[in-house]
Amino acid sequence: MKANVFHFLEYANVVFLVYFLAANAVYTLLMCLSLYAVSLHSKFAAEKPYGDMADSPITPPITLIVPAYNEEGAIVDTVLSLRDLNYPGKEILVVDDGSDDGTVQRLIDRFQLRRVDVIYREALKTAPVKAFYHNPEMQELLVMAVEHGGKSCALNAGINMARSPYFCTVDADSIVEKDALLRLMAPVVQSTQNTVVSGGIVRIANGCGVYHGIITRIDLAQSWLERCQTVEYIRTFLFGRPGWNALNATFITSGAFCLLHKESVIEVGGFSRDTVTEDIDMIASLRRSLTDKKRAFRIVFTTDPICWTEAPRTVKMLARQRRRWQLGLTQTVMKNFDMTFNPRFGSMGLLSMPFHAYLEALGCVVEALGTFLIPISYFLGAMPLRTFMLFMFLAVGYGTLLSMGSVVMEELTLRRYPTWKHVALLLSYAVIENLGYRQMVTLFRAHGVLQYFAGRKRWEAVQHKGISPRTAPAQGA
Amino acid sequence: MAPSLACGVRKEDELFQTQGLTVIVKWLAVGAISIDAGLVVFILSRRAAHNRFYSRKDAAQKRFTVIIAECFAGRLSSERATPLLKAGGRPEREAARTLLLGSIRATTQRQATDLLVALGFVRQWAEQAFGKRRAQQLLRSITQDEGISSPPPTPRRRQSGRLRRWRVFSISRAVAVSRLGRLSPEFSSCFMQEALRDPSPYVGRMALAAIGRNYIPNGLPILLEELRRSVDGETELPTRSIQTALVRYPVSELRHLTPYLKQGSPRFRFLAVNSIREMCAKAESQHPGGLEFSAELRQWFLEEAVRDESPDVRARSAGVIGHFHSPEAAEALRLLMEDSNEFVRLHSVRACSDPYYSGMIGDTLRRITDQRWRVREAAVKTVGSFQATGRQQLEQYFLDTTDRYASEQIGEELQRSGTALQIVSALAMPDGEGSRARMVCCKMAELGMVSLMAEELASDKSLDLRSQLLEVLSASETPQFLDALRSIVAHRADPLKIKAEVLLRAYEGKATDAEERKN
Repeated sequence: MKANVFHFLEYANVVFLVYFLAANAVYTLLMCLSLYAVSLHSKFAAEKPYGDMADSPITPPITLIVPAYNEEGAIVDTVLSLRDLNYPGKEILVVDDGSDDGTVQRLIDRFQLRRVDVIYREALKTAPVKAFYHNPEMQELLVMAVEHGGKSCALNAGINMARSPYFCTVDADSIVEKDALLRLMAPVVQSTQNTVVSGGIVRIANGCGVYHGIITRIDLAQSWLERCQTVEYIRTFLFGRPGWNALNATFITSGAFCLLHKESVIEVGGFSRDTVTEDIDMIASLRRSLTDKKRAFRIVFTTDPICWTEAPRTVKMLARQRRRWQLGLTQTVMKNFDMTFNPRFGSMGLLSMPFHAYLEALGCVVEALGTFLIPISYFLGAMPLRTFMLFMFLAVGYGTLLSMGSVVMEELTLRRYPTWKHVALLLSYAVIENLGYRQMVTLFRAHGVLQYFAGRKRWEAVQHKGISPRTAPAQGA
Repeated sequence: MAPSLACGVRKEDELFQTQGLTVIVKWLAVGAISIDAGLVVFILSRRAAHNRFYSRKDAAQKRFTVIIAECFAGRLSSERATPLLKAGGRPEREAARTLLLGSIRATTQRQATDLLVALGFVRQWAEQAFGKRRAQQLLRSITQDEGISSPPPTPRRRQSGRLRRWRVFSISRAVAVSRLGRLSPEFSSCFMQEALRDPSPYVGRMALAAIGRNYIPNGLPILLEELRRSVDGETELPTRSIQTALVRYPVSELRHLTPYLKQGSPRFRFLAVNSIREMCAKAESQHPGGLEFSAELRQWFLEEAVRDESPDVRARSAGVIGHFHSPEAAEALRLLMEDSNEFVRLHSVRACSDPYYSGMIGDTLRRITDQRWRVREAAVKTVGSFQATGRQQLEQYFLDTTDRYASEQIGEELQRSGTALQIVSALAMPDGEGSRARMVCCKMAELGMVSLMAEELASDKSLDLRSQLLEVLSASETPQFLDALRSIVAHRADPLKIKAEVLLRAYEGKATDAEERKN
């Protein structure tokens, strides 16, 4: 019996090491690709004629759709930030998804909205619409309240009301930078192909100062949990997604800030309710539909349009968020499993789908098992202390390398964190996040995968408190 | 402690060294940790170097701002300013470049260009963008006002062209072209034409933007040629970028466009007409009523465009014809309003939202019953744009029509434009105005558009107005109205409380009866 356990642990450890090496080899390749793509883009972006786009009537109009569920703390700042965006023709559509807090009331009070009855043409099936609110003095804003049907339903209701050829999904707890929408639209305007999706970066706003929907002070949050998430977001957005974009294999763009081509989205039936991450599912559906129809299209991810969002402040909320993301990712890759290793879908089918299916979706179970079994091997004596320590050093050292790599990219390109203190903190947390935080997140993710196999389909709501207490800009700022 | 509790006693050698695992793990760990340390050193040293660089640059910018201002004011010659701006290293050079490029306006463009030439920036950028030899040729042709021919394509050039298209090799050229594009037209014109021949679309896009921004002389024909090539798939430059550059040109340049309208594919004509439409709209918003068109252009639009085979051309033409302000233009718009294509009707209806066409309100009103909702919506908005006259006509039409779609469309517009609130307020007025408002409100209630009125009923507005509203809404059993009644009933001192209670009881009784019958 003992010998069998030892044999099992021995082979398991070899599997973990092989998985670890394979995964990290891919991550390293992605990091190198991203470094190339991000640095080139940032060099070029400084000279891009965004001013011309802002003045041009040729720049397509856009509808900003903000699905909101119990977001009374953040919704006003979000709408204010959208109202002040530098963009020639925009329409803001807040879709309240049956909130049971004061989300709609906050909007009514702040923007002096009146209830109106407007025509609702249902191109996509949604939950029933309860009411519309509008202020004739602020023509660009329309608030609609629908019965609670989930984020996909709210987004579809927004698409039904949108008048522009493109729409941009914005989370209700987000602050969008002034030029971000222009930068998001730039790949659409500057392409000869139909760009159906253009995604931007999401950054963590916890700790930053916000005043009337504008980020007035960039800072890091106080708690370790939020700081770890800050480093994690930088890593995800600066070295994962640009790498895939360079390969034309984008599979994930964050729905917190993403521009989509309305007609193409309507053609695939809008946002689906099959998964709990409707944004990832939409990319897969669009790729499938447009490839099937043999149409030329582009799905792009750009690193400079920035949207700041609120990250979970407690472990409980973080667990909910990560479980949902993982559940949604697993649902999407399983739903589209035929795309894996399918050359018809190009680099997406041959590279990105296998990576997301085996490493990102299912791989976290192997990682979680490793997190348990390697220490168990040591405690049972199946692994000598020296090897155990080496394993630990390798895991922490390599994890740190990837996080440090993304901090390097941040330093080389965007440099959003201004002081030495920020750099020192980011570097420290690039190490610290590997000493417990990552392992914890891996367990949440593995739980998400198990939820998938247990047949769970429900969405777990994450509560938000609003980004920060109101901070007026400093004199002269 | 833990290993001593282990239930098995196996040696490290047996388990791991035979498989070489430990060695692999050891070297990987050492490698990863060393790179980590290297990255920390790199980030910190880079941040330090960056801070040093920018503090020097900031100091230089402070010094140079005065020099450049003096130079632009004519108190310092560029010959004397050049050595002052040249002093120092890279941060100082970058400060001079940033300041000069940032200070380029229509009035200072020439002086800034002279300084940039004198400081060697122009040669540097030209060499980056076009190579040393070609840059020399171009600079010579500009300074000596000579013509220059483009070299014929050779197999070697074509091969290098393929490499030059790669993003990694084209970004620095694109950046250089973008900077050259800000120089005065004598320089930028020649450079931008050369840049358009670059195989990389990154470079071409920068050139297009500069051509539009600088209104480079003879730029329009160049842009139109690029547009044609883009439509025919001969270039990778996107049509939107070309159009963005085109629409920056003033309307006075439109005469260059006329010959092109008579040729090319329907898609080319559509894009050209669309650009003209946008140029006119921009000019009209800046100087209302001041647009002048050549006879040739008018003739083309009034005779050819309205009968073009492409509905896209016909649709966009309406936007241009609307600016002609003539009886012929009105006739052409009438013709387009009856077009079989939805978008032609839509654009022609929109084109009529100009005070000159107030006589066409009747024609526009007829489109409110169009079978396509976009046209109905545009027609309502257009009529609504004629201020008081338009609103009156719209209200009258709203009262007269039996078409439900048309009524709903007008009802929506009345609410969205804020007119509905004015109408509700007019309910309490005596005589004609009050009774007309009452009719409009009744019709809105009939359509179920009661939210706004129900809100007013539950508000603290005048008793007279609220009584009128209560009467108008009493036939409506919508949830909004019932909510308003409940809110009145809940308010102890409300004078409408008794009436509201009676109505509420009646509705609730009806609802109970209906439920009992159902059961």
